[in-house]
Amino acid sequence: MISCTQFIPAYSEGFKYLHKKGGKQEVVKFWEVLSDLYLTDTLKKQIIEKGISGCFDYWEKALNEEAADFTMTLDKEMGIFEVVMHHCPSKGMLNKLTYMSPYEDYCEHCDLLYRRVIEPLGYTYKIDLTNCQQAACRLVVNKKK
Amino acid sequence: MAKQILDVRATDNEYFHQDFHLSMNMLLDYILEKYGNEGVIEYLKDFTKAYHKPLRAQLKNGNLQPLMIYIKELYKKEKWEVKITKTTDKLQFSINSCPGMTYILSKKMTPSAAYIETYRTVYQSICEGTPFLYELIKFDKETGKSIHLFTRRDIK
Repeated sequence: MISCTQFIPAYSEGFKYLHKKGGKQEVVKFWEVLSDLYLTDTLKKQIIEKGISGCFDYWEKALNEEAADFTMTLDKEMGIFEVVMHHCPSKGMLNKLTYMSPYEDYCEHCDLLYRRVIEPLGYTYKIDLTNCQQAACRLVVNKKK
Repeated sequence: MAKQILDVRATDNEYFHQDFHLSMNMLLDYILEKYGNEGVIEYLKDFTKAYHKPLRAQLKNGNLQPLMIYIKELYKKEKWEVKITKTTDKLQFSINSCPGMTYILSKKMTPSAAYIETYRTVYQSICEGTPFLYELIKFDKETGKSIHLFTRRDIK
């Protein structure tokens, strides 16, 4: 068994394996499949039921379980949801495993997986990965006017 | 309406996101469907050689103790019961069900047909190039109930 606590390095190695097999486009194809399979009954369902508050509820559970270091803000009136990730547990774990190299575009999965679900529901999704090598990022979801 | 703010430090929570078992299962299924069981084996060998490099280096010294500590810790983190017996030359562990497969089933999903390889291939690969051999003695494909045996090669 690969423990849920070992998943991140297994995920990263999975991306590397798929890249070896079919290049970046094969990795992207897998992210699309994962987004459709995993986020339909979780994030997508919550946004459909609760609007932008669904984002808050989804990430509150996920980021607490992942022991992330973050500040999350929801402004329902303005239709804005923001996560400032001070320290991403996943990228942080990969950075700590100095004897292995992470998939070079690892953090990009957070762009594709969530954008694919959120934007068709009438929101814009922006993620700033400028500091992702330091395990920090910022994502913003806006209700389209 | 006031803004809702949640400010959380890493130390506030335990790292235990069981949904990762679901994502792992989806990754296995994806590779199985596109590249067959050989693809899953190839991927898990790559993963094991990269991730378990320190454990493999320790086993090369001929001592099973690091493996016992690893297995104990693994199931402790999963909050799961494991029975381990160890001598100088043998280590056996058994579980009444697999924590990953149990979680997948609890979410009304089906464990990948290749799930067994997360035991068989991973442990075989951990032992490769060490004085130990791994055998999967029993494995129930429905629950993951299983028995695993590591023995020193020269006493086989």
